[in-house]
Amino acid sequence: MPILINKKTRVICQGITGKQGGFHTMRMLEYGTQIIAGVTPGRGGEVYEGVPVYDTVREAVDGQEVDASVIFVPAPFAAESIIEAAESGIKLIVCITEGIPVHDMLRVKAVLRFYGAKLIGPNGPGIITPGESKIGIMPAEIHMPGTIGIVSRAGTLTYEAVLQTTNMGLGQTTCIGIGGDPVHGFDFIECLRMFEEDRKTKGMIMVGEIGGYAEERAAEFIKKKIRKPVVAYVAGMAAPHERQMGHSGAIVRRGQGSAKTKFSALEKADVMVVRSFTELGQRMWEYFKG
Amino acid sequence: MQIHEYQAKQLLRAYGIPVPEGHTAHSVDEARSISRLLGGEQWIVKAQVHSSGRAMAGAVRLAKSVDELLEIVDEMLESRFLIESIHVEGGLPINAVLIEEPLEIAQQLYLAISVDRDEDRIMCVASEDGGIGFQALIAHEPDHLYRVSVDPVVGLLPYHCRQVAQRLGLPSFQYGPFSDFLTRLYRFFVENDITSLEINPLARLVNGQFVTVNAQVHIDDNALFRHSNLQDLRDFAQEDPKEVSAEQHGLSYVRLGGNIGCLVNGAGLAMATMDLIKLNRGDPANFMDVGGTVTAPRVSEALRVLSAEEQVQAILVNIFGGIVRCDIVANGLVEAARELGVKVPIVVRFAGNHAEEGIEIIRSSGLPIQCISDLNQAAESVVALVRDKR
Repeated sequence: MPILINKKTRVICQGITGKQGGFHTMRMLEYGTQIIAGVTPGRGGEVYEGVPVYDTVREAVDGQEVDASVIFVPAPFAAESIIEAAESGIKLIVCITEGIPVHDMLRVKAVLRFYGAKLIGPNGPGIITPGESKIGIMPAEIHMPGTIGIVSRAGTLTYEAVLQTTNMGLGQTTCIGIGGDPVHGFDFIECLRMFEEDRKTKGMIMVGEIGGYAEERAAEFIKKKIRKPVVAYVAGMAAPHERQMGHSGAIVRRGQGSAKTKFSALEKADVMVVRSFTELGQRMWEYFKG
Repeated sequence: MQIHEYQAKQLLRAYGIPVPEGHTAHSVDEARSISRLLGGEQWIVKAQVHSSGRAMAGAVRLAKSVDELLEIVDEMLESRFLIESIHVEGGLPINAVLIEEPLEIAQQLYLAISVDRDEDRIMCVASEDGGIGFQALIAHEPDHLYRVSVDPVVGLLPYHCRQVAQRLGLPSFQYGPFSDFLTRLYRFFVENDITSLEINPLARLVNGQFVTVNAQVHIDDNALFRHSNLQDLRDFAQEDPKEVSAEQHGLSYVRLGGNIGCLVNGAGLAMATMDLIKLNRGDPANFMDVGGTVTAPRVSEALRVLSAEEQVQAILVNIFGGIVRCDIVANGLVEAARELGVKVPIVVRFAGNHAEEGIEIIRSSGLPIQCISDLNQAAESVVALVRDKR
């Protein structure tokens, strides 16, 4: 039993008629994801790729069960879309959009807490349970159903970890991109906890990057609560301080949030760290080989 | 986006937050007029650059006569600001100086507001030890910092202000004026989508008034779409011109000073590629993310940017084709390499979407570009190429 999503997960897409939303809706449908409705204000009544389009999320969820929403709405309106989904009763929200103002995200987080809704992203590739359901933009073909849970702050770096575990024959239970923004939804800890409880997951790969304390906190949590093996990598050892490295959350400020301190926190928690991300799959494979 | 001190002070003034009387000068003539306008016999001259540590570096000075003022202004406007933390080649240009009246300061405090990304809240930080050397002092005595965590939905409350005032050791009759100051500052922070705001020092004057002596403000780039008045405050002269020009082509580019150029899709992978070069004892020249929806023209532009860098002796292209197709990237690369007549060796690693086709395009181009699918080997090779050159 993988975590969060499976082949029964019923999904709506907010921003379904946009360029990105339309393209990825097709890809998700191809993968077998159950996209049962789309939302674009002003386009209600249309049908996109066989999926009915509504003006509001409220109409899209009316009279049917909806488990998740995936959001491709442009950044100025994306925070509102997350709130609309949460207030319409959707419990799992996946936001792909990059560039949402951080003050908007602070308000979003408060709304999510009130409604008990969970957010994946923003500014990430989404979530996939290989062979069952894909809610996001990741390339499906590199995945393989298997035993490793993957959680990552960086998109393409997640794909590297996925491909390595596929090539090693380990495969994945579920892969989650928690996103590169400073204020985001799911954190490492929540994902690791679910992987720990999931019977099918045998090991976890965690990919962090510079900025914030998420990796340090995860290290503490792993030490206390995680029994399954964890392999971790943190991007940005070579990154200069005080400079933003692409992602708005990837910055070392006043020496805080550096890769060095994150690696050392993870090492102290007996996490199997790799200094080269090319060794993530290999290290996991070696662990199981014994 | 960082803004200048004088810009921050103009914005603060509109919120009724006290700042010293002052004006910006771009020439000695303007400085002379400002000295007359402000009156008095002494003036503070502050170089307007995007950097902290100005006072230590002699970029904040006291002029005790008009002649001295003009001399200082002339000297500052002629020079560039360069300290260790500055990454722009040759230092930052000083295109403006802020000339202010001196204040009668009773106490120098420190006050900052920032987004607390780890708690999803807004953090106010205060200290009674403001002024020059504050950062060094706090590093040794962290309990001299006092923090108040504010719920972003509820906002700053009067009791938060009282707590900070008390902790700063202010006399109780000053709680009111201080609360008013902090409340206005918080509103300024939220309403302008500021991500970090630092007032150091915050002066308590002999007459009891609180005045912003210096302000460092960072505004959320992602929120500029809703602040037309703030968009124009960006001073490109304070940034690396090559990075700015790359940005205008949709490239996220940070120059580092090494000799191996990196061209990568995805921010995390771009950082990880730099790490990998370092692990192989190489020296990355840059961070470059060409973006998740990279097109052939953008790849060409990226290669143009890297090949224009004198110190770059080899280039590693690392593309993981997710949505992006490697063959499209390959076409962009081949075209650009031909057009630019790129002299430095290039190592390409493709994985994922249409990687085989991409490799075939590179191989059949006849260009001296190596394709290596194993990333470790690709990194080793590019490092070896640079080493062999020496």
